[in-house]
This record gives sequence, C-alpha cells and structure tokens, in this order.
Amino acid sequence: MTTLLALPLEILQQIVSHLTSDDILTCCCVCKTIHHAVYPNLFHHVFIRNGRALTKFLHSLNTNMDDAEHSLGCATRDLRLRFCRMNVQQLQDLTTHCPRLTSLDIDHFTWSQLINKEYEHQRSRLTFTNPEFALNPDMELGQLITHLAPSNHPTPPTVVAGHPKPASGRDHADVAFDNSTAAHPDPASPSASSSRHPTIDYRLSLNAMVATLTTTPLSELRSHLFSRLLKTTFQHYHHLTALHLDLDDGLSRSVDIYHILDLVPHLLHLKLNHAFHILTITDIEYVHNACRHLKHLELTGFCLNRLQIGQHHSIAKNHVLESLVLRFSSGWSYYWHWLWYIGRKYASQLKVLECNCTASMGLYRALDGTAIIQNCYSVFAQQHAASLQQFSLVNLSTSQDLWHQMIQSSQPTSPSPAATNITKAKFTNQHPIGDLHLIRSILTYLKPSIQDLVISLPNLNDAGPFGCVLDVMNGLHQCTYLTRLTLKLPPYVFAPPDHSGVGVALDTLLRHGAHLKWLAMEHGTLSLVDAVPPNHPLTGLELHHVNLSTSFLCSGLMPLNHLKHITLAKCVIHCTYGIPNDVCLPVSMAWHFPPHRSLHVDLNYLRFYQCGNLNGDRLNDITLYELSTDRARSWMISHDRRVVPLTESMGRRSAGELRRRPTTDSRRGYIEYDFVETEVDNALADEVIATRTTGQSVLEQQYCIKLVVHAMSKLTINQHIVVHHRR
Amino acid sequence: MSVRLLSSDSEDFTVAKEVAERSMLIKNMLEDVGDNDNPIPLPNVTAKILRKVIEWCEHHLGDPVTNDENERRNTEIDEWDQKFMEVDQETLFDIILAANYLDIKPLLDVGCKTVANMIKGKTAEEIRKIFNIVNDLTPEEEAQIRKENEWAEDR
Repeated sequence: MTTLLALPLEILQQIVSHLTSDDILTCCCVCKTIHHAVYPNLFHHVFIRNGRALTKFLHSLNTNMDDAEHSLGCATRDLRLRFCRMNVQQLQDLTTHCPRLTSLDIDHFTWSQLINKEYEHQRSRLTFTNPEFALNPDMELGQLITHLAPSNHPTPPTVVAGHPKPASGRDHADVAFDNSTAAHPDPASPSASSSRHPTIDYRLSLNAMVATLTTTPLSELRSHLFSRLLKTTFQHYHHLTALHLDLDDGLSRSVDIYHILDLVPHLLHLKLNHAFHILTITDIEYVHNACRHLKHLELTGFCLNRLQIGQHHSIAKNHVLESLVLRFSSGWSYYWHWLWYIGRKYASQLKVLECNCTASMGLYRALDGTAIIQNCYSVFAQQHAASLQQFSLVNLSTSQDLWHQMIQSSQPTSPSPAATNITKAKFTNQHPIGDLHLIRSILTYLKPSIQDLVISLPNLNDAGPFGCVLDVMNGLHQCTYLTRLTLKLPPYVFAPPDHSGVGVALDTLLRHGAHLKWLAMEHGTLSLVDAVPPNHPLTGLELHHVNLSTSFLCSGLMPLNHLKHITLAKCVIHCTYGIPNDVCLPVSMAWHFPPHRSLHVDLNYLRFYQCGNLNGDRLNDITLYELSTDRARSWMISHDRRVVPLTESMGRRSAGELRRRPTTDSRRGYIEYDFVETEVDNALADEVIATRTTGQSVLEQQYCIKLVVHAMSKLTINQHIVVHHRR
Repeated sequence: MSVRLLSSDSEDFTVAKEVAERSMLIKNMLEDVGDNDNPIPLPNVTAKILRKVIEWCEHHLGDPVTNDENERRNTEIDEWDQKFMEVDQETLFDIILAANYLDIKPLLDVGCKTVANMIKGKTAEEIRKIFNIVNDLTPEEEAQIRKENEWAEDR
C-alpha cells in the first residue's frame, strides 16, 4: 500500500513546494517523518510580515544553528520584509544567516525604520562618548557637531559623568567606541556565527560619522545612512537575481540608485517603486547597462520625462528584456514618444508592455503634429505589433491611428509577416477619448489571439450609428479564444434608450466564445435570444448596473452548470411574468448548480421592478429556497426598519482579520452565509436577519437556490451571500 | 511507429512512439537501444498504473514543453487532469511514483499539485485523517514547533 509517507523525500518536498508557509508549518506538525522531511522547506520562501515575526525568525535561525551543519537560513532563496521595525543589527544577522538569497524585497517602511533606528543609534553613540552632550539630550545634531569638531572628548564608558580627558583626536574616540561595543556585544548576535561567517559592518565609523556631520547638511545624514545600508546589503548579495526596492516616503531622494544597481549586475527581475522623480531614457539606459541580463523591469514613480524623438538617433538595441512596466502618475501626455523609444530600444523579444498612468489623467491632447505621432506609432507597431503577448494601456488615451498601425503591421502582407500573438490586453480610461470606432479597431487588431480582455471606457463619446454597436458585437464574436472578458462601456452602447434592442445577447456571446470562463459587464442590458449553449465552461458572471429580467436569472442561467460565482451589483431586475400590479406574487430566481460545488452569490443594491411599474412598495423580505431531492428548506431574510451600525467584529471580519470557524456539519453538505454590510444606505438601511425557517435536509444531487421575492416592487439590499457547499 | 512496454506484472502494452517518448526514461532508452522490437521492461510500474500513465500521455501528446520553472509551478491543474486525478489515494501516489520513475515532469507536477491541494487550508488533524497518518509528536513537541515558527503564519 503506497501512502504519503512512503513517497521519496524529494517528492514530498516537491509537494510542499506548492504550499504557502502557513500550510508547510501545519504539515510540520503532522508527524515526525513529515516534520523531518519538509522543515527546511519552510525556510525557502520567507515572508516576514512585521517586526515581531522578524525577531521570531531570527530566533529560530539562531536556535537551529547548533544542531544543523548549515544554518537553515542557507536554504532561504526568497526574502520579503514588510512593516518590520528593524535595526541594523538584525539586518546584519539576516545577511549572516541567509547568505544565499536570490530574491530580495524590502518595503519602504522597513528601510525607513532601519534608517531612523540607525540615526538614533548614532546619535546616542555620540551622546555616549560625549558626556556634555549626554546632559543635554535635546541638543540638535548641529550643535553636537560644533561640540565635537574642535575638541573630541573620549571617555571610558564607566565614567560618563567624570571630567573628560584632554582632547586626543578623533581616532582615539573611534577606538574608545569600538572597545565599548566589544565589551557589550548585542545579545541577538550569536557569538558562534560571528566567527564562522564574516561579519558585515553596516555602521559608519565614528570618524565617517563626524566627517559626514561636519561636511554635509543634516538632511543628508539619513541619505548617507541609507546609501550605506543599501550598498553593504548589495555588496553582500551581489548575486541577487530578483530585487524589489520600494523607495516611497522620500527615500528615493536620499539615494543614488545608479551606484547601487552596479552592485547587483546579475538581476533578472527588477522592480523599483517610486525610484524616479522624473524618468528619462538616460535612466533606462543606465539600468540596462548596470544589469545586462534584465528580463523584467518595472518602474514606478512620479513623472515621465518628455522625449524629443529627433534628439536620440543612436539607441542601442536591447535583446534581453521581456517585460516592461511603466507606472507613473504624470507625464503621459506625449507618451507616443515613449512608444517610439520602446519600438527602437527593444527587439521582438519584448512580450509584455504595460503603460500605466496612475493618476487617471492621460487626456488626449495632441499638440504634436500628426506626422510625428504617426511616425511614433509606426515605429512601435512595426517592431511590436506581431510579437507582443500582453499589452496594457491604463488611463491613457489611444487614437485609432495607433490601432490602424498595429493592424497593418500585423498583417501578413507587411514586410515582416506575422499574425498577432496578444493573449492579454487591458485598455482603460475614464475620459471620453474616442467613440465606438476605437473599440472596433482595437478588436480588429486583437481578435486573432486574444484570451483575456479588459476594455473599460465608460465615458466614450456618443455611440454614433447603431450599426457601429453591431460592429463591436461582431468584433467580440470574432474573438473566439476569449477566456475572460471585462466590458465597461457607456450605458447607451448595449442598452438602446427605446428598449427595442436586446443589448448583449449572452447566448450568442457564449456560442461564439466557447472558451469564455469569466464575464464581467458594467452597464447595458444582458438578455437571451435563445437558450445558452449547454455545458458551457463559464464559471463566473459579474454584473454591475446591468438590466436583467427575472426569466433570465431563473431559467436562463440554469444550463450553465459550471457557474461558481455570481455577482449582481446595482442591477435592475425587471419582472417579466405577467402579474397584475395589485397581486403580490413572489418573483423567484433560481440558480441551479451541480452538487458538491460551491456557489458564491453576491447581491448588492439590487432593484426589482415590476413590468411597467417603477414605483411599487418596498419589499419586506426575500426568501432563499434551497430545493433538494426530498424536502425543501429555506431561509428568510427579513428587513427590520432599523439602521445597524457596523460592529467592530463585522468590520474586522470583512477586512479578513477574523476567520470564520468552519462549520462542523456531519451532513454531506451545508449552507453558510455571511452578511457583510459595507455601507449603510440611509433610506433603506435595514438589519438583515437570517433565520432558517424550515427543514433539515440531506443535500443530494442537483439542487437549486431560489431567491423568492414576496412583494413585487423595488428592493435595495446590500448584502453578501456566500453559499458554500462541500462534502 | 510503435513501442512495446512491459509492466512489472508482465502485461504487454503497445503505444505510439511519440506517446512513449513523453517519458524521458523511455526516450533515452530508445535512443540508446535504437530500433528494436523487444518490449521495454518497466519493473517499477504495474499494468494498472501504466494504463493510467499512457492515458495521460496520450491526452497530453500535443502539449508544449515548458522549461520555465515558474510557469510550470504557477499553472493550475486543468479540468481534464483534475478528473484524471480523481482516483483513490493509493493509485494517486502510485501515479506520482511512476511519473517520477519514468521521468514525466508534467505528470509529476500534476500529481504533486493534486496532493498539495488536498493539504491546502487544512489543520494538522485533518491532514492526519486524510492521509491516515499516526501522530507521533507529543502535544508539547507540536506546540514547540508552532511557537518556534510563528513567523511563518500568515496573520
């Protein structure tokens, strides 16, 4: 009998390599054999979430030093530090214990803490060596310098209050200090390790400190400290292949990034957050010169510099970089110059490009002549139209010219014959940057290969002739490889004002997109012309502000038996049954799904309307019916007329801090739902009470969840229903 | 062109060469031996498991081979593979062992991911129950492991 424990060690380790450290730790607690086999795996990918965790991590490295030939930290390849209140000694310990890191990621909070602590440390060090200063701890460092500079008073640590000896120079002071640290070694640092590994000195010597203080303005002291911390770290980890440097909080101003990147020349992945105030192509050239093997580059910052394409004739081609992400909050008004540069700089190995304007500006202001823009687009398109695989333009304006160039360049008739390879694309903009013709052009370019498409242009200009809407629909239908589709278009595009059209016909869309797994739509009308194709792989449906009919929800979605997530937010649901206005018959909605799968239903601010009557009374309650083979059971959600403030535990639960204990239900399935009130809507804020009204049933085979609306009219609910069903 | 494979319980399988060559072990053997009509003995794989493995290889015949470690790690198990792996635990572990022996990396990955998914989000007691493992750690030892490695918990 082959069991888990009978598997060879390396296979066990391969299994746990797919687990998070939380799960690996649980595995370690299962039994001795597994503990022994997988414990080192816990140290492969280390993610430290706070200072307390860091202390614990260092402690567990220290305690395991004696019984293992090599420290467990030697297994650590990947280290991420977030929100750690950390001192230099701890950084030093980390570098000593984890010498083989290939990936390092430290956030700006941790860097700032390191600098601040070191600053305080240096300050107290000076205080310590200078008793006069000790008497007046509030003295500014500037004053301190004037105290130190003319006569430096070295004092043995024991006689702090004693009269200082005559000045004997700064060197002496340095020696005195070094003695004092030797006498009081930091308890956190293992004496055993310091002899085994070379200790890395992160600290400025007192000499350097005083020199720094006397020669530079105080504001630069932090920058010196930071520079030194970074340099020493990178000198130690010069073989890093992945680096994520977060220089938010003004840290970028205090460090010269170029002299640091030189120290880590083997990088393949580089992510610099907030590193550039203004990014110029010289900066990019520098990054490539420093790290010649770089494959993934992600830069975020404040502003993109405006390029003058005429001024850069010789650009050395880069044949290595595969993915480029630029996230800047401004400077995108002339971004076609950057497209030109990207076209010139990178050869066809560039597969991923994201241009992201993080401040949601990017209004189209074509002050350049058309010829220049055309030139930029064509240089970019000729190089990348056929080879790009992922392309995002976030909050940027695109003109049809770009897409015409892209279409042309990807045609087999163009000089370099190729088809498109784009599988993932995202185009968003909040501004009115064009009309439906733009979307039509984008779809024409993307249709041969696109799989994951996000188009979010909610403020497009007027739709133009209705034929254009049909063109867009046809374009979508031609994207036959789509697996995920997110459409955010203005309401008038897919919901003609006279309600004559059908909006988006889900069945037609699904019939053309036979691989579609996720559909998200905002605005418009979703309806059915015919039945949805049976056994379609669609798993998620996310609708915001979409007009729906009850028949669509009840019977229309029935055949979609792979559906796992349904989100309806702010949707308007029209009753399509012919019920007279004065009869309060239930409106029912049913979701049908196969057994032993969970269905997540999110309902937020829905509005129910009877046909032709938009002014009905508010609903009193909704009943959820679950129909199984034997007996039905149902839950009633009643609305009391009370405003319920968000309780603390509700808030914490929705923030993910509290975990719901798994329901121990001996039956084969159970239904649990969770009501999370995120906002209190003044008029309709009601307490949502869930009470189970009838029935205990064994859940077997297929069943459906029915949402029955008792009073016909309008309902606004803000709730979140999660229906779990598992074995 | 076809290849004959002989399971440990002496059952003879005839499969297309491309199918058999999904296994690096067999591929290398064929290269060494050259054209030969003798069956290749696979002493570590029973007929039952070999049948499953061949079924998998036939279905994944056209798959592109990726050497990118990250890509292999991050892709989810596709639906067909999920169905394929819905077998009893013994068979699952035997498939993993066979994939390891025959050196079929993608199948080994699918197997390992399947087992990993069985572990994900479970408590230690649940894991013991699922895999029928006897707990030989004392409560104190378990508490100590937890305490020493609190840093790894994601909260």
